Amino acid sequence: MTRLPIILLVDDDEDHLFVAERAIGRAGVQAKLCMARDGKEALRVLDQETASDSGGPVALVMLDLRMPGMSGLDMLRRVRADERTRGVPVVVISSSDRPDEVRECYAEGANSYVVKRYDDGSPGTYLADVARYWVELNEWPEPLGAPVREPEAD
Amino acid sequence: MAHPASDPPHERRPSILPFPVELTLVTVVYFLAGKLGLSLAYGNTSASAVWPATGIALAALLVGGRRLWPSVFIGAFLVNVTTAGTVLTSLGIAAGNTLEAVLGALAVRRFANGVQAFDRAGDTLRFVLVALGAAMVSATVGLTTLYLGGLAPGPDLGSMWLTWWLGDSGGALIIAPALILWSHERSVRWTRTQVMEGSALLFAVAVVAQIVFGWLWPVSDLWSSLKFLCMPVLIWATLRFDQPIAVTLVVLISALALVGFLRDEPPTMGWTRNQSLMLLQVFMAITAITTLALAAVVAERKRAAHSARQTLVNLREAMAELEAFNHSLAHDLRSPLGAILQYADILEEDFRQTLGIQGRLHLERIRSSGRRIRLVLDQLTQFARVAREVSGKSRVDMTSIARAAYAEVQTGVQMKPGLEFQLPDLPPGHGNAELLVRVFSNLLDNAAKFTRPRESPRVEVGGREGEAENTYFVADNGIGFDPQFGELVFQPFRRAGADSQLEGSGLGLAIVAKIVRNHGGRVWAESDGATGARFYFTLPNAETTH
Repeated sequence: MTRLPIILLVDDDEDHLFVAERAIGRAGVQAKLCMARDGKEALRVLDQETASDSGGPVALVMLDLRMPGMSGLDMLRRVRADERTRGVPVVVISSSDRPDEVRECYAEGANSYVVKRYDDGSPGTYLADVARYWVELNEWPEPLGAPVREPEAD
Repeated sequence: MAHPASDPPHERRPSILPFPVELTLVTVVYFLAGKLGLSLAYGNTSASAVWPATGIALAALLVGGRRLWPSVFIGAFLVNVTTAGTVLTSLGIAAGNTLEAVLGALAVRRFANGVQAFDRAGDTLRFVLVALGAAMVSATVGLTTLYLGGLAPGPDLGSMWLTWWLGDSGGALIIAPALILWSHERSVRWTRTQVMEGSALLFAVAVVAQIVFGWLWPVSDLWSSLKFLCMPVLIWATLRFDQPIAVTLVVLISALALVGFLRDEPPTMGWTRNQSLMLLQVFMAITAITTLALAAVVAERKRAAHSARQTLVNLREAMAELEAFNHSLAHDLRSPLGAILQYADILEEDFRQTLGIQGRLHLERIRSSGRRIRLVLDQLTQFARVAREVSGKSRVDMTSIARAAYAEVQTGVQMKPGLEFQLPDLPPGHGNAELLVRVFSNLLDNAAKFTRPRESPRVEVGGREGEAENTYFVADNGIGFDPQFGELVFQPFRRAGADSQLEGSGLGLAIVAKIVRNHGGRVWAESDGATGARFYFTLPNAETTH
């Protein structure tokens, strides 16, 4: 049997975590949700899940930028520097839409950048949409969690 | 009498020299100036039409403090006792000179702002009056002493008094300002051009002084009647150089005039030597007064210009701070507000049955208030983001811009169904397309809002080409605004004539105005306050924008 893919939510804002968890759960995205309040905790969770046999493939990291301790950008750099996590999709979810921040995130290897929004109606729907896209719709050449080959140019 | 401790310390320049040295120095300088003055005494050996010592005394007491009065007294006594008169008359004259300097300094401090007397034209003129008044004290006391000592015959007293008064006044008006101004001029730094211009000015002074005073070789009476030629040179100095320079040139011209007077022995026009010296002194005193007043006005103007520039800099800084504050405020409020709205939504979704109708009604109040705050925050952010410098300008199809803006407004909650929208082809504009969409969307949003009470709301967009700028307008048949508000409708948070039922941030038109003005355009609005409103804006054509 296949293990559930993992979505790692990283944000120091409890409200955001609550809304995201609720929305993704209601949308019926087939994934196990893990949560972390800063970059360090997120790295620990990531480590645990990728190392243990019980953990599933990490299908998505939804990462906030401004957090106490290790910032989102620092965590992104660590994730990309680590061979085991290099291929994990990371979507930055931030309240900032400053072009320089967006640019920097992409430069550091973010797969996508989404600005936090507060639409009327069902809260967090956009987060569920993001989760569904990366977990259910996006296609990868290798199965998730498989070791990523070094780019040949390097 | 003045005591050292009685001088307010801030009025006195911190002295570089120990007090006894200062005292001695002033005494010596006063003595030498007095000797020079008395060597020019023609009518009577004690009354001279040239008395620079008064200026030295006044400046010394103003800059160095009243405690320097003994220098004046000793200096004046020594000058007189070594030239003419008795010890007694010399003491009397010295007392008069000291009283003149002490009273003069006191009055200048009291009425003419002390050593800053030449910063303002008003103070400068009061300084002149004080100098003229103080000279009367010296002349009166001095001549009374001489008369009582039998050294001045009664019939001569009138002309002697006039000579004395003129000499002292001239000394105070010509010498004192230069000394006072140089005393608080710290360092002079001139550029190469200024040095060249300064040399030219000095040369002009030398030439003019030769023409009218003949300081190098004698000149005819015709030439010497052109004394007013000094004025253009001094005006040049006041307009182009600092105050001390102009005032020093007055001293220089006076000195050259004196040299010319001394080398020019033959009496002119049948006047006595003393009379022509008095005439010269009157001329120089008037020249000094004029130069002082003009220089003060110029200095005032320079300071005003400088303070205007400084104000502008401060204003710019304050603006930048305010914009940063505005932006961070909007940003920091956004996330807690988002939480409020989200939890209200969650409450409605998850506890619909428990809340009941009344509960849901209250919840809706919370949500609509929250949405209103969010609207204000959005607009605040937008307003803060419209940078002063518009980048990315290009030729813009205003028709599609207006259409895009209309589509955006249509999806908003403000739009009443059945609104009639007219959009003919608009002349192209020149600007930042993204910002120009904001102009139309805010104007259309405004129009949609104000036409809501109407049975058949109508909004029309139009434009016409102009030579220097194209004009665009958005007109509606809404409730309009009170015409007396005029331009005020474009100010932030000013909601002219709008009844409070109408939702809005109060920033929409302010954003429009900001964007348009940053494009170099103008905004204005017309309304009769009843049958609609018309909002205009212009965009300069590409050729005319710099």
